Amino acid sequence: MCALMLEFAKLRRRNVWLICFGTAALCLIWMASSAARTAQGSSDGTTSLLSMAPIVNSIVLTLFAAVISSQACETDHEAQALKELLCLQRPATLFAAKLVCSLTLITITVALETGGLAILAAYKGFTDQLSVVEFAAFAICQIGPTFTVAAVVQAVALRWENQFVSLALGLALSLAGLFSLFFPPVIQRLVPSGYFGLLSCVRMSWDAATHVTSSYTVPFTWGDAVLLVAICATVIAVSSVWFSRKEL
Amino acid sequence: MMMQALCAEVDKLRRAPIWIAYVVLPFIAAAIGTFNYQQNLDLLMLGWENLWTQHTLFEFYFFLPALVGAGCSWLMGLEHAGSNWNQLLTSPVALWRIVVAKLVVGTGMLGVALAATGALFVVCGKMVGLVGFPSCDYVVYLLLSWVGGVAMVAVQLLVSLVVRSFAAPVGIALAGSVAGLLLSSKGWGLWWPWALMSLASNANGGGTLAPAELVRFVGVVALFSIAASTICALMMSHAAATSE
Amino acid sequence: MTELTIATHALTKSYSGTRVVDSIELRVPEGAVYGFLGPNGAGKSTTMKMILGLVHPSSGEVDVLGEHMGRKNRLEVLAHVGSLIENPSCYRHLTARENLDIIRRLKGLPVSSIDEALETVGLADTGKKLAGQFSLGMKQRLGLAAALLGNPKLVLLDEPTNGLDPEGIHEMRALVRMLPQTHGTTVLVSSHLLSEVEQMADHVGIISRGQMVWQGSLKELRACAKRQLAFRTTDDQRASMLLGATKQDGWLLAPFADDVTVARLSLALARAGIGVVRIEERSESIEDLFLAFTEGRSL
Repeated sequence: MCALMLEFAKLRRRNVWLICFGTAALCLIWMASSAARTAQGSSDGTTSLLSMAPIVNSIVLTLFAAVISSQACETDHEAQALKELLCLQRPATLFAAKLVCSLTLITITVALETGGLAILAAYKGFTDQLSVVEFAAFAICQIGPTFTVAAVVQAVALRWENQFVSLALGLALSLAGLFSLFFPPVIQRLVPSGYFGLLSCVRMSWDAATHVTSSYTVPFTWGDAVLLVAICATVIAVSSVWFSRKEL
Repeated sequence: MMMQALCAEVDKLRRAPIWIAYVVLPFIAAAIGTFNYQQNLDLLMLGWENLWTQHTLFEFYFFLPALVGAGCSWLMGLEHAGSNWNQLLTSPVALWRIVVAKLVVGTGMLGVALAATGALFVVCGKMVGLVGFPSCDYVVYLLLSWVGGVAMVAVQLLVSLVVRSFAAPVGIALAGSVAGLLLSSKGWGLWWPWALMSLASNANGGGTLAPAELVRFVGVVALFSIAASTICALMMSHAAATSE
Repeated sequence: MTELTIATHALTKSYSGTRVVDSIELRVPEGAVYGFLGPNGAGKSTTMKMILGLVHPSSGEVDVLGEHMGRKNRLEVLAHVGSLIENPSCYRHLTARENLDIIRRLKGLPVSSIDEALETVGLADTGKKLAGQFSLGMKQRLGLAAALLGNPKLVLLDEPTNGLDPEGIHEMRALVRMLPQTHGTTVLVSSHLLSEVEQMADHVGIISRGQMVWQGSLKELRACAKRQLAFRTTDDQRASMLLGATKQDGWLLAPFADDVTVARLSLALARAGIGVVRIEERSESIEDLFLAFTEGRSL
């Protein structure tokens, strides 16, 4: 807990809150611009709004995860503080504190985005409103893949001082994740941001004959959720050990 | 003097071969794009146009700008590290030359990505059995994209100078691109530096710039590039002057 | 026998087959200012990092503050140790106080320890100035303040006067020299400048190419210095034969001798009709000793 507070103390004046608000705003503006085309009081407005989420989030939230992960690690690298910190903290503690810090920022951003979506849906008077529980479930399904990306990027960002590598990795993951949304589920399972699509209860289908995009709901895929948790846990475990071995 | 500044930047590049990312990104986009094209042959029409869209849509609208952002962060990074301002002030090379050198290198790296995109486009097209070769239009698209990209490189260099972190400018690049997407749909794209590259590239299959727009296009590129570079140089000299 | 604050046993580190630190037996007595002296690249920083556990030794052991350093007790022991290795750590977007607060919280020290440390190094009035705007000397002092936070029992300083102006260097040396008296701290300070070590330390360890070539108190080091007698006479040619001396730069250098022998020699010269113009006692300077040691002369 103390270690977590220290991570936030190190990020003072780094305007991370601006990054969080900006990201949530960006997602909302993007999704709102397409919702603007949906009629007021539409019966599947919320569903079609949420169906955009995987695409928007796999671009924006994945990169957001890479940015905050990289930022948290860059702070220590730039200050050349690791050799001092690791005399006072276990590598695993430092690693975990940074992860929890990223998770906190991700949760806040996703909460803002979800809240914004709920407000937008209410404003447009969509009749297919979701309950608080359903919105919360949606939020958790966005946090999961985002946090997994953050964990992967952190592994690289802590190990190497030059943040270009970690950000390029974040971009590659984002690109791969976005593309994977157009592929069968087996491909989506391979990339962390593919889970934005897998865990979404709203799917889109495009009818070639009528050229109409429609959205439909599917039941929650628990198997994929468990798989994501397993992948995330493995990444964290391996990279934590990898970091502990790093010599300064 | 100019060559000196340029050589210094290229030297840094040699030691940290980040340009590799500028080849890998188009490669990923091409690989997945081609695969996607193959999978959806029943939905899409056959042809070079659709393959181009598959390859470049996401790359040019979001990821290449973000990669350019990362590259510019890296280029500016050495000026932030260890407060090299005293060194800058005593260096015989004028600050604006340093900015121009960075601009040239940044544009060069973008050129690598665009060239890779073009090459991979032709190779993948032949691999999936497309007949003949793509028309010269595509070369025009790439060249215009490169010109448009110069404005983006210049603006990102300024962003990286102002924002001291490495990662944040990459986020700003993405935000700029998304905003560019939204602005383009309203017809304002030609005034937004992040949208210029994607507008010229025909990545969404909607056609590239009309000949009438070319003058305005080049003008806007020049405006943003010169303005951003000048502000960069002024800020650097101010920082150098105010530090001890 | 004094307690040893640091004791290493056959401490070795190899990188790709090359031994950068070779079987070092470091002995730092309690309450000493130990000058760890060696040319650049000799292995000083690597040794210090191994003491702190930042680098894993290829072989050998380290005892700090009477405890054998291992994975389990490492952080417990290091809670009583302060360090400044290579560049001082410094968060540029935080003030001096905020920077030190991070270390303070990790060490569990009271808030007053920050004021104390800032006072000691002379950074007490930086107020809201961000560390990124500090001069190199101020950053160095901030690093020292972090090392001294909470008056630890042991402080490891790696070239602490780097980047300081002459006044700063003088202050830093005075500060380090007084640490055992003012706070009961044992100090291990590394340097490649012999003059600096002479001014600050009372114990010296000389390392060259990864090997410890000499270790002991400063007094013992001075005692190693070769001493000679230098004569100038009216007839150096014949005098050199009588004295068994070698010629050098217009002087005759003879091995050191006690007063009785010197008196006899001067009388012998007089009897031979040679006038003695000058007799000088020459002692090898510590610089020469240092160079000799690092070039492989054994004691």
